[in-house]
Amino acid sequence: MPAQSDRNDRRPAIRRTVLVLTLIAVALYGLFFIRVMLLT
Amino acid sequence: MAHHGDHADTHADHDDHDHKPSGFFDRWFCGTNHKDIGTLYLLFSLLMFFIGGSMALVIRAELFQPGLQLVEPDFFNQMTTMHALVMIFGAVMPAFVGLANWMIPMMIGAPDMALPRMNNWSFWIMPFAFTLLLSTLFMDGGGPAGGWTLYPPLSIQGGNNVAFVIFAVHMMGISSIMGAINIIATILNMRAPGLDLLKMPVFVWTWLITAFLLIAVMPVLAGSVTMLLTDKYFGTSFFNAAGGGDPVMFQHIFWFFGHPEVYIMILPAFGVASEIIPTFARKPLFGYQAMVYATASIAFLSFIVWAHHMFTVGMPLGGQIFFMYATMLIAIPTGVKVFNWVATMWRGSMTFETPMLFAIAFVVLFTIGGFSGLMLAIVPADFQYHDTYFVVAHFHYVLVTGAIFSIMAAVYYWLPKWTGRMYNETLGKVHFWLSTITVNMLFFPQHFLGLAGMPRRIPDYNVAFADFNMISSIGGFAFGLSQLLFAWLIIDTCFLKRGAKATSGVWEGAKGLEWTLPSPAPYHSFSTPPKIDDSVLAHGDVSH
Repeated sequence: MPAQSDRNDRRPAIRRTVLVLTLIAVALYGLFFIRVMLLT
Repeated sequence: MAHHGDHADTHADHDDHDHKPSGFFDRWFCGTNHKDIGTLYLLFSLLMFFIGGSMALVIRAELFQPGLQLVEPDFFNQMTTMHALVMIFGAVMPAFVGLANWMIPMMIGAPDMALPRMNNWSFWIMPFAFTLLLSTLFMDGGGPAGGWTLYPPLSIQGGNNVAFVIFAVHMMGISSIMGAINIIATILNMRAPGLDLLKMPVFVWTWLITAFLLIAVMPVLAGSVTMLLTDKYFGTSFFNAAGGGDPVMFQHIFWFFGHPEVYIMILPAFGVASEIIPTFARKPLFGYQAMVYATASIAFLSFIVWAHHMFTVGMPLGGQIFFMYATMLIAIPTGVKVFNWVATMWRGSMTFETPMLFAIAFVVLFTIGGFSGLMLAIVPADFQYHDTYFVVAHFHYVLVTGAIFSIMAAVYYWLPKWTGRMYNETLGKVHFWLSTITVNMLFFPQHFLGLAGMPRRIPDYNVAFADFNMISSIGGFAFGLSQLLFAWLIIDTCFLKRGAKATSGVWEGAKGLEWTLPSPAPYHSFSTPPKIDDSVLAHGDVSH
């Protein structure tokens, strides 16, 4: 099943994509708190 | 298009071995198949479209004539607030996510989404979020009534619905962020070998960019509503001037989310139009790369225009000028897109099936919404238009004849691929003409009302506005009733299956990987990555 192994090879790349995007989302959520606290 | 059929047979042979989950619960509640989850999103969106639509009818019934007739003013305000929340987060966004779920894996030659179990979770958060939101209407004090923008201090002066609404918004945000991560992970990692980024269908491109917008702004919305929650229940003063906070700060944060949100709802619509118009003009899309770069430009500009929603709040002259010109700049990439759609149709062998009719109406009517947006961008003019029915007319042209018309176009376009049956073309055309005539009757007079000074979000008005309101309400009810025909057509095609059997190519001019699959698309498709043959691709650097 060469196609299957092709798909499996993509798992690390998918994990990396998810990790980076999740970090961006969490950081943006936190950053806006910090920004508002600094400005108020 | 005969070669499509040949491909389809090959894939059908492969895919017949696949099995669906046997039980109803296993398939629809625990399933991870992108097509099933896409169907769930689309059905959920249709339900919300009718719930949000009935709220709009309450609004239009009350505004049919001056004076207070049917509902209390506070309930009227609950209707305007809930109508917006339900339509934006419950109808338009899930419809596009449903289309993305169904079509993106098939368009890029992937077997499913990159994260199928998270996909199930993304969807199943939504019914709980909206049950929570809608349940507030039955609470003491009713639902939220301060407008969908949730501006403090008004929004947190309500009863305990505030906590429910904020929790519901958080859940919708989590669902959207997970959906967006899934879409980006799928597009970046799951494309069939040889399907370069600049060969992807424009619908896939617009969704990739939209997903980045979602990840960038949904946390901002979540942050702002969390602060509202702590202001109300935990004694903080983020937006409370008495405690050293700043209510205008909320507006800035909200619109930093809110303006890109508008593009989250319209960029996938651009993608849909870019798929349909070439098919029925039987010509490749004019300026494929320009379309992609224009989409990216619009997405970038959407982050630097938020304060045009706040000109009347007060800001330095430099700020007004910056936000005015930045807003006007958006007309350039949008103009590129409209030009390219028209150029695609130019001298094409056009036919006017229902999806094409909706797509052409989308181009024309969305452009009207775009032009009124340019008028609103002019600071001194906005001082006059702000908070009037002109704004209501503007964003309904963008969201109803823009986003919702494109969703309807997409449903008619892909329904034969989803169900294996053609819809009733005559009824489809009747639905189109009824919708197009009545939607203009509903929203066009609202421009005149706004220019004459009628404020938005009021249950009663000066008798001078009576005639146009009556026309608008008649248009509203006719538009609402016309949508029952849409629901009937979907039932007729999906469940009664009375239409003719659809071929794999469905439309004579359709190109792209999804059309190489049989109709209905098999439960599991592209388990083996397809070989990319440029002649089946619709877009990109391919010779036509």
